[in-house]
Amino acid sequence: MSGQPLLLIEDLVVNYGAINAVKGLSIEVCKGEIVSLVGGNGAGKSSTLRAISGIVASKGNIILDGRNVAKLEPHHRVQAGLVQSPEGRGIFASMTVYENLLVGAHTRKDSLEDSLKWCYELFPILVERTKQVAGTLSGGEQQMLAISRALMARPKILMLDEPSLGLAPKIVLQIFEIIKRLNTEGVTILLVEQNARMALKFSHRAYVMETGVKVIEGRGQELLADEKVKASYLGG
Amino acid sequence: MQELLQHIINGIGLGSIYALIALGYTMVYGVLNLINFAHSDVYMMGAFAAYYTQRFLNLKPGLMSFLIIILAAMMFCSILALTIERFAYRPLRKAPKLNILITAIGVSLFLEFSGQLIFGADPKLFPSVIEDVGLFSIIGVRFRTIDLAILAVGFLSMIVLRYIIVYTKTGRAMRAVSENTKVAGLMGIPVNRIIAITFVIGSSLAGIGSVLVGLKYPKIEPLMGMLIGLKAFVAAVLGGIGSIPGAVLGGIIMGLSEEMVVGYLSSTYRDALSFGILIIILVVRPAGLLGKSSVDKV
Repeated sequence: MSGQPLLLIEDLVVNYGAINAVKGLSIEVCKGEIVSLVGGNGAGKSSTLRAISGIVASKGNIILDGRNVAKLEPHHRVQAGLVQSPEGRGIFASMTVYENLLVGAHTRKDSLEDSLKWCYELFPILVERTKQVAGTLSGGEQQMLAISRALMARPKILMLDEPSLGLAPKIVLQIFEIIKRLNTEGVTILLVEQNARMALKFSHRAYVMETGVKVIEGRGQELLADEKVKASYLGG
Repeated sequence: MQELLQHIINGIGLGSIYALIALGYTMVYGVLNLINFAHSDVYMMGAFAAYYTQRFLNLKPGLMSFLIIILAAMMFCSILALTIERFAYRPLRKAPKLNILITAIGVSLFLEFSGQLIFGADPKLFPSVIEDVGLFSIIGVRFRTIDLAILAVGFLSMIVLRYIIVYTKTGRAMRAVSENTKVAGLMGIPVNRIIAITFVIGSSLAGIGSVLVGLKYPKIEPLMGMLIGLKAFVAAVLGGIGSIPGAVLGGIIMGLSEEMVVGYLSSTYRDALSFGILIIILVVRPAGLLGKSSVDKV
């Protein structure tokens, strides 16, 4: 990967009252990459994503495509191309699948035809569910909807917070294959995962976080083979 | 039979007024999880805005004047509610829920006693911009102009509201914020603006309601919002707070049952009824008729 990173995070600090969740984190994501943040509970992974989206207060620089977005309101960051699919999927359960997709495109004023077509192509199951209330979908389908909904905003960087959480192993694999496919179709992805083995396997690069700082960084495959990572995060 | 039909018509009219006010409670509760106690006083201010508009413009009775004072009340209520939201509620967005609830009570008292200071505590006579005459009767049920105006305006407002909520981008955003504020923000919805719009719509409906009530019961005073506000709140709880169809249903049920109590029992019990209903719902079905007892799929 060469040139200027698409997303550059410098000295990111997130505090919840007296608790320091993220303590000066610097990471970068280049165009076309899948980068993951892995680490245990309370390592500050989700807080990092929330800070990038602007829904928790933070200090430090968040530079997207050469422009510092750290002072922008959350909805302006979405408009700039930083789109997050939240932990626990967060689909709007009482709305239909189609309405969920429309909400994802809230910042857009142009035609949504192409994006809708793309989502239905990626997840054919959603086509037959368009008019169905989203709360009635299965967990895996909800995750597909959550990813599609984020894609509707046409992200420059798609941030996925724990996309495998609470899903059956077979579905988890399916979701990761979709992530890979999205990437080959040109979507840059920043992924947060507890399922470190899966995340490292599918990522170009990864950062391992511990109590608010990054402790190891490297290529996904390298980290999979790294003794320390193996011992701490991959269960030996 | 004739009498019953007459009571039903009257009850639906009264109910649609309760519904208009109840919608403001339920919509704000939806997006902020706040019982906006100041809502009933915004409603009161709407009646005074209409009253003074008629006086200063010296409007003669007629449909045009009716529309003008409705618009005046809607606009004044919207501006007032936006101001309250911006300066009293928004700074407390991240504070514990109790703080904002107490603030709402404070704003309510502030409006009531500012009203007494500015308008005086004496009741004023609301202008009859629509002459109350009998229009026609169908199988013995008399339809009067004011009752028809209440029904027409009430139902038209609710149809417009339904259109906004179900079919427009703003309505969809309101539902999204109401269902999950955090995720709505992540999807690029400007949450603060949507909350402000919700206040504008809710208080406009209260403004419409205030003019309808003024026409039907033409005595307005600064504390007029308390009782009707409380009843509208009960209507919202009865329907399921946060549910828009629930507020309409709750309002109509309240209006009908109040009219029946007055008609067949005794008007003494008219106000006891609403609190009786409140107690029964809280015991039997706390989520309300159309409310969701929150079951989330994880």
